[in-house]
Amino acid sequence: MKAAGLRVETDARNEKMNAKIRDLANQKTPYILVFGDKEEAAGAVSVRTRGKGDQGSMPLSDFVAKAKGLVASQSTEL
Amino acid sequence: MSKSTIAIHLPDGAVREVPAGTTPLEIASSISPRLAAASVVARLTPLTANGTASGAKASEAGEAAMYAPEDKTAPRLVDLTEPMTEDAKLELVTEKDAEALKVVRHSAAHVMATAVLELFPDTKLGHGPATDSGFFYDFYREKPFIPDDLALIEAKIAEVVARDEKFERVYEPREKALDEFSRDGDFMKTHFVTRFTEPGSQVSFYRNGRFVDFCRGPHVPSTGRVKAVKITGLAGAYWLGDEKNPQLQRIYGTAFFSTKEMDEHFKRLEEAAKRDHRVLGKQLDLFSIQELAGAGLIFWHPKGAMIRKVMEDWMREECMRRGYCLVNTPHVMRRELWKVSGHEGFYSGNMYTPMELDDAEYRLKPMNCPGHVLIYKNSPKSYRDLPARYAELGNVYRYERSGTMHGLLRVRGFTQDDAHIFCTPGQIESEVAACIDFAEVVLKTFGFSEFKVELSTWDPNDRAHYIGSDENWGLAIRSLDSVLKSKGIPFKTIPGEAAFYGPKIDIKLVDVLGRLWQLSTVQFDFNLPARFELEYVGEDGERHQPVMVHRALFGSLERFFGVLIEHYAGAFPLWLAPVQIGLVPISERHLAYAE
Repeated sequence: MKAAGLRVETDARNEKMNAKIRDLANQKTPYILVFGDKEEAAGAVSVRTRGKGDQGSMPLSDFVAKAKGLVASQSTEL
Repeated sequence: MSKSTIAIHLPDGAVREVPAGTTPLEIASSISPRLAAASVVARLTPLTANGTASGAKASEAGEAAMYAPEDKTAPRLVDLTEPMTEDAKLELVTEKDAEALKVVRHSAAHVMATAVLELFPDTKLGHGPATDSGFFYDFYREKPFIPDDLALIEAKIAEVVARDEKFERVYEPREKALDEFSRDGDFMKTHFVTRFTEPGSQVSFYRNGRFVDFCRGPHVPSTGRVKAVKITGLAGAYWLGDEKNPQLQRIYGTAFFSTKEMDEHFKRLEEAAKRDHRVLGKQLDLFSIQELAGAGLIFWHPKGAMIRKVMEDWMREECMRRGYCLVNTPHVMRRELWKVSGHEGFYSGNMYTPMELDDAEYRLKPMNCPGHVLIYKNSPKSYRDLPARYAELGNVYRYERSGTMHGLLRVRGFTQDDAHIFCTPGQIESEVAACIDFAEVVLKTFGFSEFKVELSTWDPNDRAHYIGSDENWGLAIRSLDSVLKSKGIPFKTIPGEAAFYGPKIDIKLVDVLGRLWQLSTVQFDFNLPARFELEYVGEDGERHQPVMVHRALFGSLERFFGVLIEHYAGAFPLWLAPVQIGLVPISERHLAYAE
């Protein structure tokens, strides 16, 4: 994702998943990606979009393409 | 001059011949009792009126507008019970009219003063005007008010409103009024009457119940019309703004025609407070202002600086795409330069004081223009070099009085996205059109869909105040006007608002809460090209003076950032967000996948 020019922050703290999601949401982070064994095996990510909540899982490459598109078009949708 | 019958022209074109002395209320009642009940005041335009300009100015002249006898030849708001003595156009002003709100707020100030005097009879009255968001009244009392008093006053206000006392206008000879005021120790009223009325005249008062105040109105018909009122604050203020004078207590309040409107008002304020860029700036760790460094100076933290980088990159690329050259100029320059540019004369008070170095005195730049002018002047120019467009994200420093700074919105150091365009008179129109285009793209890209445009022109009756030729002024104003018209952009022309050096277009954006922010500006400058003797060789082989246009679109990066924070409530669009994607590995062993 960094290679795609996206600004990414990993919450590597030893905290509960929900606490991490809450803190990122409080910082008004546009996308929050959660992943564990299932996602890693499938090459996927579970996506939470600001203002829309949990959007379910999608392939990592699709997500990157979508995010890149929104950035490139300077979209104010998200 | 008085006539026995007068002609009253109504908005629907009807003309009523009525006996002199008829009141707007009587006319309203004759049209319909419902209209009479809905009317708050009346707008009266004498048919002998000398235009609308004098009326508009008089309403903005502060205290004089509150106390000086009204100009009876100008359009004005009057009480519904004011006897009409001349032929006039009459419009009944209901609660829906924007100006009615100011009237009810002024009446609310009287209601509050009534309540204060009933509770605290030793209080002396200062003045109590309506403001843009409500009203206040200045009081003098040995023992200052405490917050508990405000609750008492609010309860008493409700009583005064419930009593539904009529507001009545009465006149008294000036000398008698002054005697009474000075006997009662009403030093502030004595001051206002002395200052704003003529010896020997009749002075206007308004009475409701036992309360009487020196005032020229107009007012709502009775205290019962002040249906929604709330005290909003208490502050100290020195009498006449001089700290050697007694300290007054200023009680602030606001009023509306209905509690529903008032509730909405407070909801909007609450929403605005939640979006306060100073609060969000801290919460999201975007920027700070540090006591140790000084007020009005901004520290951009990593996340704020990332947004700034995106803004800057976008702006620089857009400038280059549009044929601007990027330049950089020094922050401190010799005082001599500021003498040539004229800033030492007309702008010195806004600049940081000079610093003396071993070779000369230097001053911090408050503007980038002289720097860009020097770059232009550094080599001979021909018409083929024009237009020359120089753009800089220039840091400027301007002195603001301590205590007037406000977050990112009012600062002492800021970054202008400043550009100067040097062109031939024939290129003016296309350059202005390109600037307006660019400004629209800036606002749309950053998420503002609505804006208001003002064209500030000169006052031709005050020619000596402006520099530059009639020809250039005419050309510049016509170009600005025709560009806006051909683009179909609605705008308001404000004569007399131009700077002395040229006319300008200001673009005010409207944010998500409907607030207006002045950011983008496109200004002509006939001063600097003359002072620096700028030239280009024209097609005719002769030397000519180029036309210079200043333009800033963000205005100030700091201010624009402040507005962005509030507009988005900190939830920046993806392309601006400092952190776009937050990664949450469920456990440590997934960290590698994150990487």
